[in-house]
Amino acid sequence: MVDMEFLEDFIAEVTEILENLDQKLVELEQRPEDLDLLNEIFRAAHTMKGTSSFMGFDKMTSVTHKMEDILNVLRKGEAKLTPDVMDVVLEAVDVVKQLLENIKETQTEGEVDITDIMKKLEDAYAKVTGGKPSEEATAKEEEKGKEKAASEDEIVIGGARPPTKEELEAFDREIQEMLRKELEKEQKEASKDKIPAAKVADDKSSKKKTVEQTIRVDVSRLDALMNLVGELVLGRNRLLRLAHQLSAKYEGDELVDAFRETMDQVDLITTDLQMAVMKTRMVPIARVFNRFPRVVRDLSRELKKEVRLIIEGEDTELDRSIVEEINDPLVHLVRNAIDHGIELPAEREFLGKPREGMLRLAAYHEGNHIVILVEDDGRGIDIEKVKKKALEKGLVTESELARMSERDILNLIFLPGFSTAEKVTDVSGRGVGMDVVKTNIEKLNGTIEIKTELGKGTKVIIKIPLTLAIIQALLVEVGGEVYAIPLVSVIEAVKIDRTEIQTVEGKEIIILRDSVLPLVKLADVFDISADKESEKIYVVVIGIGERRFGLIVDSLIGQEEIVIKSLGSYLTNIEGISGATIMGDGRVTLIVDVSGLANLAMKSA
Amino acid sequence: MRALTKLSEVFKPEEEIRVVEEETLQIVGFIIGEEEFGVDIHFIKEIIEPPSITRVPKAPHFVKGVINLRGHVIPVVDLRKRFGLTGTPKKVENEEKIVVVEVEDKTVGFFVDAVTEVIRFPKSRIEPPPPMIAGIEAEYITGIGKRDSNRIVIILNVQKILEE
Repeated sequence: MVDMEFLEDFIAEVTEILENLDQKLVELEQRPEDLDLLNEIFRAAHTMKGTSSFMGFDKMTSVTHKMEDILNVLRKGEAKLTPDVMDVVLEAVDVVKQLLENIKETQTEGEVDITDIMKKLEDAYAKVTGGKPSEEATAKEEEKGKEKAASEDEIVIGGARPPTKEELEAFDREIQEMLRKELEKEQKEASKDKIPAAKVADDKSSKKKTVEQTIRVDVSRLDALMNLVGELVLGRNRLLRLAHQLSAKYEGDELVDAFRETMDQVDLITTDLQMAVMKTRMVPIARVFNRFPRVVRDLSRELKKEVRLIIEGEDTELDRSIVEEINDPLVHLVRNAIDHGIELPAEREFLGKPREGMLRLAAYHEGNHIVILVEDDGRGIDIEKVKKKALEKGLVTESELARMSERDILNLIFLPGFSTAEKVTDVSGRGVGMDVVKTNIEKLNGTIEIKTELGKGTKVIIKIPLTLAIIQALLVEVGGEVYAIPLVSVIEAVKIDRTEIQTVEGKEIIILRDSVLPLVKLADVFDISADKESEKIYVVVIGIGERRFGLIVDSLIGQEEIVIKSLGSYLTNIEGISGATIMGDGRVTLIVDVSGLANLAMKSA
Repeated sequence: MRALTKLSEVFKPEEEIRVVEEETLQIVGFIIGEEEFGVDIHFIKEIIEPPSITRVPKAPHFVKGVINLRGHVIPVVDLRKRFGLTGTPKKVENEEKIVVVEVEDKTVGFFVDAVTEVIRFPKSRIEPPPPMIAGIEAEYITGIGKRDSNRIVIILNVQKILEE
């Protein structure tokens, strides 16, 4: 019965409603008297009920119908919203999300069992109407069904005997007609409502307007566009170089001057084009941040803490592919903050802190990066405990510890095998540890750092570069093969004598400006037969977060801006290689994945 | 009446042409070692002279490396190594080619000793594969095409090969 033509629109519409619904519901809990909010949420449930019924998705219709009933009672002021009822409503939203997921994948609602949530919803409805749970609710509906309700939307097929097929079909058609009319009415009302609503800030209403002026574009088309622009940028770079060389060689030649002028113009336009295309892929981080009021609310209830969530910089934009990847790590960090950071209300009072703990999610642009902060005013991280745990788990030796700075010690938290308790259940039900968070951030070429003060709080700082596809790289040569190292990971490159290499505890190191630098031979890690045993070698000093190591190569070729190309779906997950690029001469050069390289090096050492 | 029915029989040309198309496969043939293999032309994106191949460390042993195909980086598979074929490379250096195949979103190049030609096989001349032939298991073969003069072409199941 699903009409394919409408399916895409249906999915888009319900997705959008759901994205905002969590946040609105949490806001409602804090401002239960807010009539505008209540109406908005009521309309959301109403719309979902209508469209899902139109599409024939019965389970979603039932669930949203019950939600709407409850919200209707609330918005009429006939009852107050309690946390228990809110729990049920939020749970119902989760069920709807699940149903939508199934619909997205299989075009059917799937095997989701809604009897549990329906019972809970009915009980909640009973609570807000002051009636007896379940029995009364269905009795009321049966009555209305018999009347073939002229009253708004309470149409239920009920009555003494099960209806015949013809009756059902006729009824179906009637409902669809009524719903369609209702939908149109709602949409007209909704667009009228947007302007007078007092609370709605200017940018909120303009956001709604811009939403209506959008086009849905296949992400693959944007990717193709990015690819082309990337190549254009490289071509532009080469042309610029040639133009400069020419004007140096033929100073004063009219033709060359004209060429140079045109080149400068094309240069500007290309830069603008690059920016513009990148922007098409940018979405505000609000997409991710908006899920957190709900996450924080659920977690605080679960862990019996009182938490105030502050969100800043939600308009900060970033590439859509980053947005998807950043959600899980943030959820984990937020859970950590609430679970281990923020103390129980009683304890906080005892310590002279406000009962309510503060959790701050902030985002802003810094240079070519986006910075995301997760900050809490909880108990902070005890460095001594970290040291002890690391030693216990055999992750580090006493002597190594002695040489570590406070930053290094805090970074031990990111080692696999460090975390224990966090594994069990987090909100999304997936077990993760800080090491997974770090890996996910590094996959985006980003860095993560912890700053903490005992008793005062903890701040986690994540930095991710904005431009994914074009990077600066250092080209190096080993045994005749050329590799590109992302410049962002390169601290410096030094030329040393082979004799400077020392061996400590079986590992090769050099002393660079009074600190120890562990060495890794690229030839060894990549199985390259290095036949040259020259006296002078080059060491590229790589930095990942706080870790440093030196990469031994045969020679340095130079610095270049390169376009990252994927290795394709056939060759995914080659450890140590993050992608490839195409050089000016058309050959393919592989890009080194520095964190993967570090892992490989540890294995082979 | 009879004339009319005869006309209506004649007037089925569309149907007939369709039927003919379904029954013939177009297979691009290529040589590896001593065997001739083939791939349905629908999966062939292009056939090129091998450009310089960049080695990929830590890749599976049958991946020769990657090449630049008009701005895209695609892997090149040495089918000889992939299937452990033992036929001695009976090649003339200049004849080596890369047969670029595309299945859904995967693009891979097969490194071959030489490309022969496009062969039309009526379906009736294609037999199901035995459990193993030339050292390759049946799941990677869609059929054995019988050429004239007792030559056979082992038609490869590209989808299966690209699955991993």
